[in-house]
Amino acid sequence: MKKTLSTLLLALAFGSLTGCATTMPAQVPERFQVQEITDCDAGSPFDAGAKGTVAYVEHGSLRLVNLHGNVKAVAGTGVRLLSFSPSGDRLAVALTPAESTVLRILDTAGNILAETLVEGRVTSITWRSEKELLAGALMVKKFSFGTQMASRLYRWDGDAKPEMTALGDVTLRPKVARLPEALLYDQMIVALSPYRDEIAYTTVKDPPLFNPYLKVNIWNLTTGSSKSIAEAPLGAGKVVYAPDGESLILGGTPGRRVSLPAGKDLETWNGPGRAPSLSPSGNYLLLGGHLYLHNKEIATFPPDAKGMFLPDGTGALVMYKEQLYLVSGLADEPPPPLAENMERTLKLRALRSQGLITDAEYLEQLKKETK
Amino acid sequence: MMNRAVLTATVLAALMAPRLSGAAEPCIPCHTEKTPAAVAQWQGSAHAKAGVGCEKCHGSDHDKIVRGEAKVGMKVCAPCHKKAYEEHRLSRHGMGLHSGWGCTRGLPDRKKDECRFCHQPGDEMPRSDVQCARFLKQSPEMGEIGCNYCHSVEDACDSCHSKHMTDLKIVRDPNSCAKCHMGPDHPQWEMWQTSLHGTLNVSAGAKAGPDCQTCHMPKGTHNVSIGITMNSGGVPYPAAKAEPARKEMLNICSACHAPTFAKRELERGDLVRSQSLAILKEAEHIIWDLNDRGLLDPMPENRPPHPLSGPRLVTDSQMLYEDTSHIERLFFKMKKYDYARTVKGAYHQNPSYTHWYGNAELKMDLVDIKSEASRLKERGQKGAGAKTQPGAEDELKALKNKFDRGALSAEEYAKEKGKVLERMR
Repeated sequence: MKKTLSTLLLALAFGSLTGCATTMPAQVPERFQVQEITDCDAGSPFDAGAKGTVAYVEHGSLRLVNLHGNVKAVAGTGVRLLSFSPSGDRLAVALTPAESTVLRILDTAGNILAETLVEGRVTSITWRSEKELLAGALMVKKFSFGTQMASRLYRWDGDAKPEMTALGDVTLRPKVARLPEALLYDQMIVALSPYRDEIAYTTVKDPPLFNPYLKVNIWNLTTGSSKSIAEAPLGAGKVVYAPDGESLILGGTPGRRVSLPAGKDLETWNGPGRAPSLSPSGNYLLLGGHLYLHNKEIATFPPDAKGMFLPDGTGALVMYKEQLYLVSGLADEPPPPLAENMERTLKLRALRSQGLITDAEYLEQLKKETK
Repeated sequence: MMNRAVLTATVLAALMAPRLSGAAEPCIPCHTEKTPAAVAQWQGSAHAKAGVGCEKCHGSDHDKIVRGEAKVGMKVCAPCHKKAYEEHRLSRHGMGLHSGWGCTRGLPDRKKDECRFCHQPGDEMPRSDVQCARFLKQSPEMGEIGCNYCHSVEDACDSCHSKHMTDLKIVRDPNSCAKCHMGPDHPQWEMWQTSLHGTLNVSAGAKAGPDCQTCHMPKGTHNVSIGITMNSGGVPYPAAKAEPARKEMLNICSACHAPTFAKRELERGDLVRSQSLAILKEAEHIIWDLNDRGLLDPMPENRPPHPLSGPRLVTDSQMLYEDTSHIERLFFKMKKYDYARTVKGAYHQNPSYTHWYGNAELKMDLVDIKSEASRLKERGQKGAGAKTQPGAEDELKALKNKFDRGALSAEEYAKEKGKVLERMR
């Protein structure tokens, strides 16, 4: 596949944008275009909304631009996480002042629509719907014998006080608690199922005689049933759902896809990778700097580049060092339809999550539905 | 010749006198004043006549005795009364303490020497794994009087024989059994007393009317479980254990009755027992079904945990009469009182206990339990109306609970689930 690629070393000019020019070493197919859209703070969060707005952080300030690089608004500082609502009309941001986190909802003009303070360090935010924001958080308490790390999920409607659910609790040995924050806080990164009824997340485990690792868990938002389905190495805290909601992509060495809810390995990708991202159809996968189409590698980016696909599947945003690039020319397809009878399917999923029906019974019922 | 006889008698008396007085000599002066009854009873006992003094049983550490730490347990008696000791240990009396106590390891008020009641020195495993949740729920005072006064029979000969008297007349009196074998849960004494056996015993004497000891301690055995075909909760023994026991009891009955008559009467009792057990099982099934559906009020997870089983429904011999739902309390009475009265009444040939105190109550209990179950189900349905959960979910939960506790086979479970899922469509 690599032979079919043309090597494109992009020396991106930033004539239309301000800031210093850097290049991103990448190998992409000829039909792809890689264009720098703006400068940004290295390692900072970014997201693209359904209406073409991109949110990112530059010089510590949140900025909202369109895909042509035109700045629409500048709003606030200290943003650690951000996420557009499904419609793209609202943007949630998380600011972490200390042992608590400010959650804020903005419009695309940067106006504050709602704000709240939650305990703990929020490590991820994602919208379940236009009216419900989910936030994964970690509460840390240090003791002489170790560090207690509690995992929490907050559910916030932007109006009332966020509802908190405790999802886990672990005591870390002192030497584990001293690991770099990038490793230690790379967990409780909430992924939402395409059915919007379930989340997947990772929590750290620290068994006394073994190395610490991550447990990959799913939790049904309707029934409160949870299950640990797989394990992953530290640093592979982000997981994503496949568009059909029946499998998860995990980072690690190698990256792999596991079935839901059984957690069986379905496929693996060569080489290490973290922070996977899937295109809306699931055809494209960005993992550890490698872009796969139908599981065949078609492009490479630097391993430390972070990427995400645009909601319409036409491109991807890639952050490399202090620049944000738009990779366009992708030929993604619309996501597959989830269910003909969504209400019944959600009921069946709720029953399966509680172990009241088996996976086989669930699939059999779905099959009957489509007849 | 006469002088020689007198001389011999005098010498013998001289030899004996120091032995008798020496056996209790250090204790008698004080205890004649402090515990005159004990001294008088001992002086009239076979022990005194045999030269068994205070020290032989109580030891010589007076401080220990005063602290109550020199209790005369069964092992003190065992060296001299080996046969009785062995027979006792084989019997249900021999496990009376186990059935009354749970392991006290986790209790804050545990006494240091309690372990010896269940464990041989150096042995981690108890002699029996029988424990009692009801005992563990009691205060120490209540446990001592209400439980241990009877259940200490395992390790205490004086539980029946009294402490210092040895007159067998005491223990051959059915009243000595009545201390424990009476009351609502197992009124064997009352049953016997008002049966034809008991009436004849009083009016025509022991040869015409047998008493407890005649049938349950034949030929003076201390194995009181001879001939019993069910456990103390009324659950029939398996055939391998029941059949030899039945032969033993037939032998005992045949001392007075024709064997065919005795066999017929005992088999009639067996049938009453199996019929009663069926009624009991029906009620138990209703309660487990309510538990499967989450309808007990309160559910086990919402009340203090069972001392042995935790937050689970318990309807076996460890069931409680406190910290339960009302319907379980009804079942407790049904099982522990009314079932026991019906079955034991039948075997003791007592019509009133078998029917009115037993069977009739048993059947009325079932009426009450069914009625209470209907009320709980009705209330559950009203509650479910307010919930967002679909009915199918509740049905599937109930089925899962039934499957998990083995009330449904895998095939039945899958089939029943299929029906619920079809109804969901």
